[in-house]
Amino acid sequence: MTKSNKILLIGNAKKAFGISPKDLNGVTVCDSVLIGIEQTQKIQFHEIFIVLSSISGQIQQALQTLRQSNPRARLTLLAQMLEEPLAMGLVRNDGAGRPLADDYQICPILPETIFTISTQRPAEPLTSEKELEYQKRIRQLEMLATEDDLTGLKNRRYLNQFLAQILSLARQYHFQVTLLLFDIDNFKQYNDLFGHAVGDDVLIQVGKMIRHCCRGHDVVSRMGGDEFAVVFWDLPEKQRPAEEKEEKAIERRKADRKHPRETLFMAERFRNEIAAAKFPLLGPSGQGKLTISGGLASFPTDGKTAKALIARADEAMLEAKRQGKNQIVIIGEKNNSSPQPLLDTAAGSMPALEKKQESKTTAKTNQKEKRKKPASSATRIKSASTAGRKKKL
Amino acid sequence: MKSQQIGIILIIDGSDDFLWSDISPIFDGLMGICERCGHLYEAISILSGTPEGTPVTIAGMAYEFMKETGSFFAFLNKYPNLFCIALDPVGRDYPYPLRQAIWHGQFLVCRSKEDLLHALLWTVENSCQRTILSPQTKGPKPLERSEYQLSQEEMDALFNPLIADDEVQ
Repeated sequence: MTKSNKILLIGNAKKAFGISPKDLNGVTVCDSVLIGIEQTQKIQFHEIFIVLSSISGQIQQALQTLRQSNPRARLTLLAQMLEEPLAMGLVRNDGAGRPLADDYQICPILPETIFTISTQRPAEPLTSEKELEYQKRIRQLEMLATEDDLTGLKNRRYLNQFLAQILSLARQYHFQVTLLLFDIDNFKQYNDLFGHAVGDDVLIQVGKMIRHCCRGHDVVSRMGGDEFAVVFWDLPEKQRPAEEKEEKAIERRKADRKHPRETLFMAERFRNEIAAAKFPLLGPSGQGKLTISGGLASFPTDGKTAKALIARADEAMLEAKRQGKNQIVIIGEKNNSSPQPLLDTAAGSMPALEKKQESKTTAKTNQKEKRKKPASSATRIKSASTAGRKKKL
Repeated sequence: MKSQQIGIILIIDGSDDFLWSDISPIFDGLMGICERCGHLYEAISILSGTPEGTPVTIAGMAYEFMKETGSFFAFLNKYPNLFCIALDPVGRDYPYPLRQAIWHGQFLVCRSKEDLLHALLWTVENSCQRTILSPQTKGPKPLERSEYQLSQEEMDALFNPLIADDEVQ
């Protein structure tokens, strides 16, 4: 198997790879699945990649037809984050012979990846039971390695890998990536008061809510404990000229700042949903008790590497805590969202907790303020990544 | 040779045997030209494998044709010899691309199974006639299409005259 394998890509290449089909040299690209089926009648392909969202009708029927037309080709689905369960189901062998697809990849993927996949694969499709079982085990291990056990969201390892990958694409094709880091305010106290099982249920519910508030392609992960992260990314509307004048560059930098503000709306929507949500396990008036604090940082303005971006978003999250919690802060911009009064605070189902957390927060904020005054921005990042992790606000 | 002249009729019937049991006895004398398909994708697969210029008629329930609306219309454009007959007892509101195909006479909507059978018989007859009348002996003449494209508003006025009238008032 060499790079000269006959490869067919069905679907919007720009959506899958963030690039024009012209850049996929040697790959036959079809916009729709019907045209793809037509192509498979004329050419026997070795590798068929299908952008899952390009099939608007019956996915199973379309895949069956592709299989029948090109029985020796390997079918790889290109799915978005939200489509992963569907892709997994299509790849899973149900015991009734060959699965509808052989593999799936989560978009965006680097264009080179499809050539790598193509060259690494055996020429013959895996058909024996033993091989299929082996493939199933590999997939299970992949899942264990990339998913958070409790919430079903992606885990920290996956987020780090994805962030590095998407930033590499963003550098190449000049698009915006924004990272949101947030945690649940006073989560430790909830855990202490209601028990860890309730705490886990809250984390699961919060995970579902954030997933619901984000777009299909945004990557949502649980970083650990009560800390979550979302990677928002958007492809460029138009290519930028290679050289630009200073005024244009200023305009561009202003435009770049639009991205975190746009994602702020999504984050804000989520914050409001959480604030209004009922958490029955948190006592009779659980509604309005839970709040989050979050920080947003964007590529390339705030950081150019995954590590830098995480550090900047973390810094913004700490700033949100310092400003009184229950808010989202864009790094470098103060008072992005004002804290809103908690719902039903007068009812006070957890006065002890509120008093406890109030006194703790004040004391810790004072301590932090004292510590931070002489510190530089860089020091703050350091403290956030070390001490900040252990001593949660 | 006969099937080459008349072309192929593909009946999308899936597993429910809704159309096939009524249609197959009628086309008993034309064995080989009428084929049963499970779904639209299979029909497209067979269509793609036919020699260029072969007239192909696809008949099926309307929802089958709406599975890949946008790209299906592109397919209709690409294959001028493709003619579709849809059975639509409920009177669906067709998306703009399919309305264009109806306007071009490439997509026929039938309200009842009887209408669909008539339309199929008419297609076979018409296809034979076109083959005979065609000056080229190589194959039948493609369906004549109007070059005029209707705008979205014109389509609305044509397909939903009552709604259009209300808007004027």
